[in-house]
Amino acid sequence: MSFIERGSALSRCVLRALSCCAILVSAFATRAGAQEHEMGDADARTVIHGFTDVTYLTGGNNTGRTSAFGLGQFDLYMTSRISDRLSFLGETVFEFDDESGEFVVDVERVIAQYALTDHLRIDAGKVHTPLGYWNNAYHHGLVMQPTIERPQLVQFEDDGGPLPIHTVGVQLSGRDISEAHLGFDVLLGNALGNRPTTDNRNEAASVTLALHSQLTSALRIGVSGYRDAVRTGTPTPRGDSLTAPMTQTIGGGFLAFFANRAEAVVEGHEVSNRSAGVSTDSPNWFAYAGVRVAERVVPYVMHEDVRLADNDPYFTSDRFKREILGIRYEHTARSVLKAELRSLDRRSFDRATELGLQIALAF
Amino acid sequence: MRLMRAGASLALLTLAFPRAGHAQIAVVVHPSNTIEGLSLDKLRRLFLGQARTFPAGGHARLGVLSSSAETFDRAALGLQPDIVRSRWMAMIFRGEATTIPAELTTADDVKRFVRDHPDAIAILPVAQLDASVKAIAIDGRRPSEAGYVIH
Repeated sequence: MSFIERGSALSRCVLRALSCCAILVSAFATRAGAQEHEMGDADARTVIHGFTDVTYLTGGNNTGRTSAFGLGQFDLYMTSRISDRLSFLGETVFEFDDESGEFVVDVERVIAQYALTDHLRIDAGKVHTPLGYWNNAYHHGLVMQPTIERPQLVQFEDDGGPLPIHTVGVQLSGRDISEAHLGFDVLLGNALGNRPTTDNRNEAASVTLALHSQLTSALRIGVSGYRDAVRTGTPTPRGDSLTAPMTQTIGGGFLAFFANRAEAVVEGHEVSNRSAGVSTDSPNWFAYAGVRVAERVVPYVMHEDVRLADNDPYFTSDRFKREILGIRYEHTARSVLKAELRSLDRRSFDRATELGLQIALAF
Repeated sequence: MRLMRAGASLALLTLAFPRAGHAQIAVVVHPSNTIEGLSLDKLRRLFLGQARTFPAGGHARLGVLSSSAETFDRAALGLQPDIVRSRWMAMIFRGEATTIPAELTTADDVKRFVRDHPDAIAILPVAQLDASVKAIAIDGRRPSEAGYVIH
């Protein structure tokens, strides 16, 4: 396919995706506002927001690619307050799929949420698994995320991340409990390899437990654990299937500090897989820190270390170390520019360096 | 000597009116609300969405006078207004909040908001206070008392 043909195919895909978005938006919006769309009466208020980004990454320097601009996810996010206690939250992403060569629609979150009290709520649907801090603080809208990409440890499943980022299930959550400002999440969901439907590959379930405390308005700490009994035949990130049942256990913790001047996140998770007499442990962590040097300017650094064990029954063994030096310009709360110099040291590859630029928007 | 006296007067003035040009902001609730004061920490948690109830346990409904928001964000919450805004956006995006604090345009709107909602807590310039709302102490100090932090 020539460049022009590819370009026109891409244009058709973009037009198709934008048409879908327009239909979705027009279906839900009855009044266009500068920042939000509302529908219905006061008791059933639907608000639609969107996120998108454009990123430029340099190539060469052992990155295995050429310099290019890339469209990020086109993310439509909507909430609807159905009653005082019941609300709906949905997040649908349009993104280019390298394998199919087309834009695809991915339903990232669909949550029916019921507030039992001001401190307790129940969520049912597809949620971000409450592992650590980053996965729940930052979702698909990159304008709120401090860095250009998610750390590799909490990268989305289809982008090679080792953790179960999404889970379909039911979750009980508590916030601001007692003088210690404790919070918790208990999630019972489908197991690895299952579909977001009842037509599942296996009947196994996963359990996630998280306990955290908002110690001050700026400082939050927490621990989390995940356990999954994975059945034989479950597809692995390697592309094959498990030949024996596997138990996956994930334990981790985090510290997150966000004040007016300084911000930092330190987070780690160890993934333990047990299958057919083979036991592996994969310790992974990352640390992020930034300092606001002017009203809208935040230079930052990040270090990531992901080690997926040799002979693991589920993962492709890997060692991923990355250092990032970046700067963020927060033009407004809804528009952010980021620039990063990144150095990646990955097993079996020469050290790669790259420059990344990103504009991320919320609308 | 005269120079020293002038310097001392200036210092006293600075202490009495620490940030000239910024009106003091009162935190107000419905007159029927039994609360008399809040710690600054609790106030921050409420207006950053990390807490949803008054210390006694009742639900807190937030209202902000737009023209006082910047002073309030900086002095009470210790954050830039854009950071406060992006934190609320993030909370809604995470599903941890369904609405941002009610944005009110005039002092009369704030008073109406508080009058109509017994669970309301809002901000109002001290000069606009009247009997329709109840101003509460922050960290034990009421508006116009020395050491009151929101100005």
